[in-house]
Amino acid sequence: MKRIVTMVLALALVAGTVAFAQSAGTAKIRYVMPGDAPKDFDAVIQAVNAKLKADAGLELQCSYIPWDAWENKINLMLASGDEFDLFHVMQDWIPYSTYFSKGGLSDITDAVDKFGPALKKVIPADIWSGAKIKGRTYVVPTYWVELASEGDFTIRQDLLAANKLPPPKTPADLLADMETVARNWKGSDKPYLPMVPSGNYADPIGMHSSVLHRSYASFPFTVKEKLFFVSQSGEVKSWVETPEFKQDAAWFRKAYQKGLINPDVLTIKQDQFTNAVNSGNWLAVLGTVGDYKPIQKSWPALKDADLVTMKFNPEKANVRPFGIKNANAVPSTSDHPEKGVKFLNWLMTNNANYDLFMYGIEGKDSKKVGDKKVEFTFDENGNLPIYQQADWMMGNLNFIRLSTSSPSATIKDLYVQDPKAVNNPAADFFFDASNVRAELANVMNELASSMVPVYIGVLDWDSAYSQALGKMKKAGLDKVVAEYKKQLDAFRAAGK
Amino acid sequence: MKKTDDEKRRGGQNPRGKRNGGHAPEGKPGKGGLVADMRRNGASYLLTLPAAVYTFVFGYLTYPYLLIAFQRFNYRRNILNGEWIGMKNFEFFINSSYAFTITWNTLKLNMFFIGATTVAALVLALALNEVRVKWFVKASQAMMVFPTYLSWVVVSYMLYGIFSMDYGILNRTLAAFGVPAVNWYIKADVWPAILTVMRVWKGAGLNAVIFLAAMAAIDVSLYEAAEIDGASRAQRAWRITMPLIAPTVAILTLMAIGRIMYGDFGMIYALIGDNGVLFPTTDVIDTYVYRALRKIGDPAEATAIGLFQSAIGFVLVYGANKLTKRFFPEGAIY
Repeated sequence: MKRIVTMVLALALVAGTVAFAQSAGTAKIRYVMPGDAPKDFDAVIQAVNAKLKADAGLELQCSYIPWDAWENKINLMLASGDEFDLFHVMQDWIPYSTYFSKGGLSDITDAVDKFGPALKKVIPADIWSGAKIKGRTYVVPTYWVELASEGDFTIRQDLLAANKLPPPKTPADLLADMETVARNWKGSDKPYLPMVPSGNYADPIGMHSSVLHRSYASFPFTVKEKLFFVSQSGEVKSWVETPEFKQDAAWFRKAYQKGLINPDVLTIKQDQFTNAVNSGNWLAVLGTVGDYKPIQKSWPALKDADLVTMKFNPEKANVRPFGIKNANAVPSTSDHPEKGVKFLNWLMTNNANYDLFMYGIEGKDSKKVGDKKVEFTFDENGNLPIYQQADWMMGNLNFIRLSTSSPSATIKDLYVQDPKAVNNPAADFFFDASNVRAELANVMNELASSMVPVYIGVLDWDSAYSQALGKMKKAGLDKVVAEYKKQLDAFRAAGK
Repeated sequence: MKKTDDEKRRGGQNPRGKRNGGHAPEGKPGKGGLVADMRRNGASYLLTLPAAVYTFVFGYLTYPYLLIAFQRFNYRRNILNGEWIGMKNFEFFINSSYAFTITWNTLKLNMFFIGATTVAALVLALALNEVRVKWFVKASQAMMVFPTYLSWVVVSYMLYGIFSMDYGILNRTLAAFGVPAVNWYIKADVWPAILTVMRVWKGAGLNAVIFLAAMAAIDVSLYEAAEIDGASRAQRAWRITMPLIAPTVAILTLMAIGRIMYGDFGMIYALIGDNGVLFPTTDVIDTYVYRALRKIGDPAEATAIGLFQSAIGFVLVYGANKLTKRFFPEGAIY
């Protein structure tokens, strides 16, 4: 009996040693991303890993977390000490400073210096500055978009022409054009302005109502974190108490009363919004349109040139509200923080690596078209590419390829660097809310429940605004704004 | 003929004709204590094993983590070396101008749900218990239970199909009668009723099936005796069926009361979403906390609220059980 036990133990030891020896040359990287895995994910990752192993001795394992569980699950993984090496951060959703303040991030300053030469080359220095807290680097910023594109809206040129309308030069023009198009509309679905305001607290940046701001005398300014008006001179005000907020609300109220906004707008979900955009049943969309192929299903005659991106007062400066919008972070639970940096560095080393991971196997998942475009292979329903990684998650303007059905107007606006653009003074500033957590939570709740319906025009300003503001004040708005101002002033005084 | 069918049906479901056959109302193991009882009924105890393990792991092993409700949360620290901050994590909720409203909404909606679902389930079960056409009973049960398995997200789209301003069935029906369209999604007052109806539609069927099972366990001879004495169907239902299924109703209700401080997040969030206009009557603790913390994402504050809900829930279920024990001992949980 003793002999058998000894034999089993010995065999287990040998097997373990062999397994360790086999894996010793390859470091595994666990990358956690929001969303769902694309259909051809396994095949592509196998191909990626073959190259990644040969080039850098790394092996990638990707874990997807569905969108609705994202914040909670990432929180849980960090809290429970789950070992992973890289995760995605959406600055406009939960900024990386929130994870940092609770000890959730690894300091990757040294790792970037040592293992990230390609990253340093393809991500400009001013973008890196947005990835630093107290001089140390905590995330690898994603340089995938020109953030000064904020303030753009997309208009259907074909509908303007069919209704003999000139391009709108002011918000009032836009409203009048939308009214004319709605009056002449023949289809059963009304041409509402697609919007999903509730989920993002009617954030002017999130829902792109910043389009209207370019027409105000006080522009340039931006609205940070849904609550704070920050002028180009660094002045901080409570956004909901500014004349600009009132002007936005007046425009939406007119649109709502004229029947140009879906009367159920407060209950619209993200997928309903996406369907509305893809239906093409609109004259204008605040922001840009990613793909015109779905629109052609309902509007077969629609051409690329029919989608035009424009902004009010184009002569005014273009402002970046954020230094970075997306980033990838190494969690404090990673056993070797440099692994995540090494992988991202490999990705940004050359076009071949980037194309393989982002667009899949050439000829199967996609086909390169010229230097900057790609034609995807779609699933049997024609809805989704069988493989694609999100540009906004880890893309880079130096390598990015866009779908052949991406509107040229969108490409011009989002994916070309704007050398004249300026950063808002708070672009790289991260608000640490730990001193006003209780107040901020309550203020945000009041914003959603009381102020969003006023802002979006569902409720009348005169009858609902004072009460809504009173509730926000009672919840601690003044204290939260004062704290933001104090921190931003200190940040600016310290020269970052 | 009718009587024979009746006998056959009831006899088939309860061959021994034992009163309360399915409930084991004694509440204590038989002679020899728990271990002896486990030996005698090994298979039955084995069936409870997965639920017992689940409850032990997720119910009891997680107790120590309640400590973080009183700590400043940091991913790098554990529950033993966390920084103690007293009741600070409770402040954001307690100091909220909404604390009273959402606590009241949670209680109010759950009371509506429990009351309406129980009554509807009882009515359905009593009605089906009197039906003699077997296929109809089976088909009805299947149809009644079906909504239970629909996700609330699916229900939210159905609801949108009914209540949307432009294309909703309700507004179209109103239009047919010359009534102007109503924007239901900004009418906060009607939503507690809509939510209650949806909850009854989704939950009453399953409860009715449980009540039907309890009814099937009632001794047939009681009905026969009552019939010989000239009791009508309604009298038999009221005087025999109702008192004998009352313990089952009481236990299900008490268990629901135990969770009365927990808003049905899946339901409310799917149906109401972020529509702030409806919050004054529909926002519950769980949806409020979700919205308040999803950006800040502090597990300590979420734990603090969970602890608050559990404490109130415990007090309520303890009190309700005490009252039940006093006035209706068969219905008490313990």
